[in-house]
Amino acid sequence: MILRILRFDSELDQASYYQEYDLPISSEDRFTVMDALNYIFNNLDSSLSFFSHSVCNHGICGRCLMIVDGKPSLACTHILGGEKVVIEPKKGTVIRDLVVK
Amino acid sequence: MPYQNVKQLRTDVLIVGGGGAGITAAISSAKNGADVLIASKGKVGNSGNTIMIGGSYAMDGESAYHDYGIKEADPKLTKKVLFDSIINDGFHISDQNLVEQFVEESPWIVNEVRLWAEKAGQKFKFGKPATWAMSGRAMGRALYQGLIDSDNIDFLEDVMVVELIKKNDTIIGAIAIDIYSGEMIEINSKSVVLGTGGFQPFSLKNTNSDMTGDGIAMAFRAGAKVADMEFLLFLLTALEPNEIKGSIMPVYFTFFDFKYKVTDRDGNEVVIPPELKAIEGKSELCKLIDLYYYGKVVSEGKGTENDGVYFDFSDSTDEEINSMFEGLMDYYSNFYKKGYYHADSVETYRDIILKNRRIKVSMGNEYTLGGIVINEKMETSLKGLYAAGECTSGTFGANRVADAVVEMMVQGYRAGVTAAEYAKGATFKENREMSKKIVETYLSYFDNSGGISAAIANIELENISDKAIHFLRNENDLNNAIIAYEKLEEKLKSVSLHSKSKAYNFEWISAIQAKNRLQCAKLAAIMAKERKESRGLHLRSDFPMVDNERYLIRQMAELLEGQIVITSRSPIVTSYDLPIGQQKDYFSYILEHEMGLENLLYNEQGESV
Repeated sequence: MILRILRFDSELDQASYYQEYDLPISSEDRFTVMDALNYIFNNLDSSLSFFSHSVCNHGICGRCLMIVDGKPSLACTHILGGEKVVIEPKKGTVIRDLVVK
Repeated sequence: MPYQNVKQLRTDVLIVGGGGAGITAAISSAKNGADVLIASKGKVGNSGNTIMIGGSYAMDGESAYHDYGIKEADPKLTKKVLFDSIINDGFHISDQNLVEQFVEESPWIVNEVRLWAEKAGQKFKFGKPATWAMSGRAMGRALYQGLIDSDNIDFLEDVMVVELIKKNDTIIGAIAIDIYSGEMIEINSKSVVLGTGGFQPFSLKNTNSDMTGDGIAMAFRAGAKVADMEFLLFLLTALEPNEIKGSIMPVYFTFFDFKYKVTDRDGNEVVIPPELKAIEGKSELCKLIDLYYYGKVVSEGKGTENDGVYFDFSDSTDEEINSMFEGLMDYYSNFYKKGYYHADSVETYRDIILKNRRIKVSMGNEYTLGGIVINEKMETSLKGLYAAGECTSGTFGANRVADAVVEMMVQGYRAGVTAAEYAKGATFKENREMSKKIVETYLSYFDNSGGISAAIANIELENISDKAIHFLRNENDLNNAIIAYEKLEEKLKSVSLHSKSKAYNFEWISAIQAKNRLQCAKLAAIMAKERKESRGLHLRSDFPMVDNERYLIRQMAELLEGQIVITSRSPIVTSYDLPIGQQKDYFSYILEHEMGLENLLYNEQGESV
């Protein structure tokens, strides 16, 4: 599965850009967006930033909201399907990648 | 490094943590005249294990009935029964002064929080003897209501306190990091209250990800005593399907009388002896029986992947399975969208069972009994430092039966009072040398290169913990784990960040959390190794006896000149006589000490988490 993620670092970048990550997972794995982002952070690219510091992982706190294929979704409850998924930050001031304040 | 870049703040009382312990401490501190600042790693009232509550909280039925006029309450659950059961089911190593504080002071704060919940429009559902079931978010909102009704409390949210500042053995403030901007902050305060929660060192997670033992580890580094780190509470936790992994929904199967067999990887039934099976449903100690038997399956290599077992429903029809889940969903619909537990789909879970007739379940670590040593006023062994809630130790001994939810608020409220009183007679002090050194240490993470990554450090830590301080422990695994933890400690000294940006650099935060988790896990392994017996939640396959001759003690650790020093002492006794020293087989001990309360302590649908 390909994750196409909009990236931006307020300290380093002039403009945002998309980066694609190829993950060895399919729909049957029932990965949530959060699982996939953790997979990237742990195995592929630990510079990718997403809400990670106070995560309930069960749709309780509502803080991991992001835009998945154009729709607002909680990363921890949205189950990934299809071949390619586009992930973008929610509205607001982007601090870094998918982290918005 | 120019110290001018460090933001300077000042407050009478600094509260670290935005969950139930921190919030109640802030409220009582402010009420006692202090200016209060809360520094919370997440959002105040929406972070920590407070919002993970999946159950209930309670007061004793006697107080509910007589003092609060709740006529539906069952006064048979007296203060004395509650006091005795906490000590008995904690295998007698509770400090009884702390249990007294819990029993005596909890009815008032439990009722107060219930009123805040009403004001905030949150649903708390009453059950006998005097229990209120609610969701974690509802508890968070209730506490937040109490907070905004108080004056003189400021918050710093998404700010992680990393180290305490000390001068001449007195705590005088803390250094923190603003997680979003990466800015470092020096907070000067007359006293500090830690309400930072427990630590979770395993790969299977059922708690909030901010449970990394920060408060316990920083208090220990500052010279405070910590104790009882070997006692970790495990709770049934879903392993599949992937999106529900980590949910404690299976805990409810036991309250709702679901019919299933437990089997190992190969489908062989896990047989629990009938005399032990007989106390299931009438004793709080039955959880320990599950822990032992599931742990045995796993340690014999017969568990599923992720150290699980199967709940096998092959003897039930579709109708029976549907009916069990219907009852469960009806109950959950009091607090969650119909068909859900938190945001996890109960129907998805049921459908997997209908299809496969079995589902993989494990036990996840949801609470740590160990932590900072406190007295009944929530004073730690360091002047100016107070602690409350899960980051403390001593109330529940070797096994918790009463509510952690009550512990956080009854200790939080008391800690706030004590810290405010102390602040009245204290002055602001500085230790610029120490503050500078702390800031330099944490900024130096950005200068390392070629070292271990924070992600790998956390994974290594989890692998060591999964193997050694899990359900059933033994000397050999614990020895290996202590060596492995020490090697990882060395590697962590040169932990390297791929990104040098300070804006939301989770590698940085994660590296600091790895250090704190590792500190706590290592202390757990050392104390588990030293306790050569089985007691409460600490089970040793090589020392299966409860040994009251040698181990009716609390173990304590302290950092003296950079070395970990382990000592022990008898629990503090007020009115409950300790059992006479002898060795007894673990399960004979349980059968002998089973209080036969028929779950009087909690209604069957209201176990608290």
